[in-house]
Amino acid sequence: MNRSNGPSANSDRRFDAVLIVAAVVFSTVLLALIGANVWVAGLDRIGVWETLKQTEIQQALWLSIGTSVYSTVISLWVGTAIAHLISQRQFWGCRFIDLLMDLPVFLPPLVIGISLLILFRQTPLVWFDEWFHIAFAVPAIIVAQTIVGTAFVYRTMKATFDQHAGRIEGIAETLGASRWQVFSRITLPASKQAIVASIAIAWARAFGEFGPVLVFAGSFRGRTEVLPVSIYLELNSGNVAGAAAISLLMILIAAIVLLLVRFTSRDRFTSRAGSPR
Amino acid sequence: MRSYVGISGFAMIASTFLILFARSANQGHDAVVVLCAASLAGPVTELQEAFQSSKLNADGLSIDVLYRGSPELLALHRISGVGDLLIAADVHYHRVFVETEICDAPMPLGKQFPCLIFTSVSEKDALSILNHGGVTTSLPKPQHAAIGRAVAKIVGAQTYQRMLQNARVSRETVTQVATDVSNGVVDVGCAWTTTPRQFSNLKNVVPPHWDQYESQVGVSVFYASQKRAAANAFRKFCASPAGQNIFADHGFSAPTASAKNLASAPQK
Amino acid sequence: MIELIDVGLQRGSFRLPATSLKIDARQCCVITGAAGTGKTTIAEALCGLQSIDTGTLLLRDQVANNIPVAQRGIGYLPQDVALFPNMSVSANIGFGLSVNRWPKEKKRARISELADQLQLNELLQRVPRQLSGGQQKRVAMARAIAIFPDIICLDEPFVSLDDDSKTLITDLLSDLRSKSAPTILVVTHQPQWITEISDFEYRVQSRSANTA
Repeated sequence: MNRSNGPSANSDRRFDAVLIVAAVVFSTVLLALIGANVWVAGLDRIGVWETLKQTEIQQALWLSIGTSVYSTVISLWVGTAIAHLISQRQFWGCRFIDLLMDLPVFLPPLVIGISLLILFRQTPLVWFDEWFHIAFAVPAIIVAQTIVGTAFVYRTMKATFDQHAGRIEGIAETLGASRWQVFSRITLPASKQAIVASIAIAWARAFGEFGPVLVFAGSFRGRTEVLPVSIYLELNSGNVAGAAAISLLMILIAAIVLLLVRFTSRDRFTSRAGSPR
Repeated sequence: MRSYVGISGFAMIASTFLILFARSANQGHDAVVVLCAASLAGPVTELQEAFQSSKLNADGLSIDVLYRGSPELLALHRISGVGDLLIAADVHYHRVFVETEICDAPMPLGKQFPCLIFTSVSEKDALSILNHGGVTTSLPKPQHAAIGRAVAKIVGAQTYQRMLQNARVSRETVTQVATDVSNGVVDVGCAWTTTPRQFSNLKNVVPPHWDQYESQVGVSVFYASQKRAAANAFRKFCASPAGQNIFADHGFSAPTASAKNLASAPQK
Repeated sequence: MIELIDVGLQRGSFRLPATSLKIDARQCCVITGAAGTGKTTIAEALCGLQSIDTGTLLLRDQVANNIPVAQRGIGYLPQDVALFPNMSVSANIGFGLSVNRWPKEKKRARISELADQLQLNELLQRVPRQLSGGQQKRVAMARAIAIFPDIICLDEPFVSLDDDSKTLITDLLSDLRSKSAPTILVVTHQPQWITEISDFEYRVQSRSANTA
């Protein structure tokens, strides 16, 4: 069975070629999308500069980073806790919760926004909003971002917790560890990759969250203006170059953060080479 | 575990500082909230800045503006009660609000007319969209944008429906239409005579009789507003000579109708 | 010390028929039997990793069916070793000591004692995936007995070990018996390695014989 020649080698080569074509074509499309922004921004360099110089855009930048980090942290803890519960315990209604947690992922973002707005402004919960000033303020941004982020964290973490199926957790319990000790010393450290993946996806979703923010937090210039809202506002005032410039800014930040995540996810145990046998 | 808690805590604190830092220039809850038609972003942004630094603003009020299509503003206000003032592109919307006893009678601010906008085609080609021209169009939807409603009224609802079916794009706000035309996505679009001011490359033509439809921009105060005094101060500023100059700079004609004429519902 | 009275359970298509077994304090029992008869299931049921459907499990003369895993105090060597992948060898061995809040000095002393006995001194700073199968088994063994449990349950301790390592384990077990003298249950299909130190052998009947 020499696989380097004969008819099988040819078909392997063809198979590889198909894969490579798919990869190249799609990468080109993605690069072209970024390039289109560069091009539009490049045509109106003064406009770009004028846009990025606005204090509102700088505020939007800090607000975007601040709210997305904040909501990522909340999403991470809440999502992980629920994922651990559903993965470890069987109880009445756990299947229902499992289904429910997927809802924010499948719902159109706008539905989340309008539902939040109705919940906080049309139901008896309105006293809560009067008290804490959530709707049309910064907390609304965080709430909207957290809802979707938590769903993504839940999905990612539950897949990991299910995969372990509690084997090493059970062994840790035989050694006298409480459920809390098992969770903090065994489950969490063993799920480091999944945690990093959760952070990346929850943050990316939060950073780019637009629909719910637009409806629930409004689009007040410089007040509830996160970067996607800035793009919307610039586009609505006809400033295409400015919108492209902010898009590029978002791409840049996302790229930096994702590289950072990749870098930190390299585990000190898994990166060390081979076994010394 | 401890490190996770530590990192989380640090991230929360750091991001809280970032959020506070980002907002330090604009302080929050006591701002007067203006719901404003998206097409009026140009003059209203200037009004906002002028008011905040004017001596009419003795209490140091800050103004926050939400720019959307007028029907969406109505929906948002109904759902959430957000907003102290309404500035709509066409007093028709005020009438809807006034009739449903949501806001008081509008104070007129300026006047604009529907027109056709274009960049590269000739004026004749632009006018040809009224009778099956060979040009591509971006048209505002009558149920979403004041301009769509206006044009539909002028050319007749059925004709406009036909024009919409032939259009390459149909949009919710006049600015979206103008952006389409400005970017060369389409040849011709419908807009207000004031719209081309926001775009350097737009030309406009007012078809015959279109100037008989005048759209009055008006401002009214919501009954639900908890800052009515402050809202009235801003409204007064809009109607003052300083405010009127800003509208004139953006191509609006002086308003003709008085507030009384515009309001058909009883005053509260 | 340990008593199973008609203990039975069902997991999917696998069924452990009612099993009865009694091991007195300080005794050493070897459980043998053909593959797939439920030797491992008995060990896991003892430790609480499998819940029992029928019958009664007595530990230290108490009904233990519902005692949580963490409170059973059984030193367990699982068949698949199941070392904690994110911890070093010494952290693995010391895990039971840590969660039982042993003082640092005592803990260090105990770890090095075990490392001497099981010849793990060179490996203490490594992580499990850098160890061979036999080394992993020895680490898991050290982890199981570190806190001096009075009941020890070993599932296939001799599989994937070379003869030297097997001797190491048997020596360790006889040493344990002469000192702290725990109750020991060993599940294995290689009973020849342990007959010398075991008190009796329990043979799990093949399924066909039981269900017939």
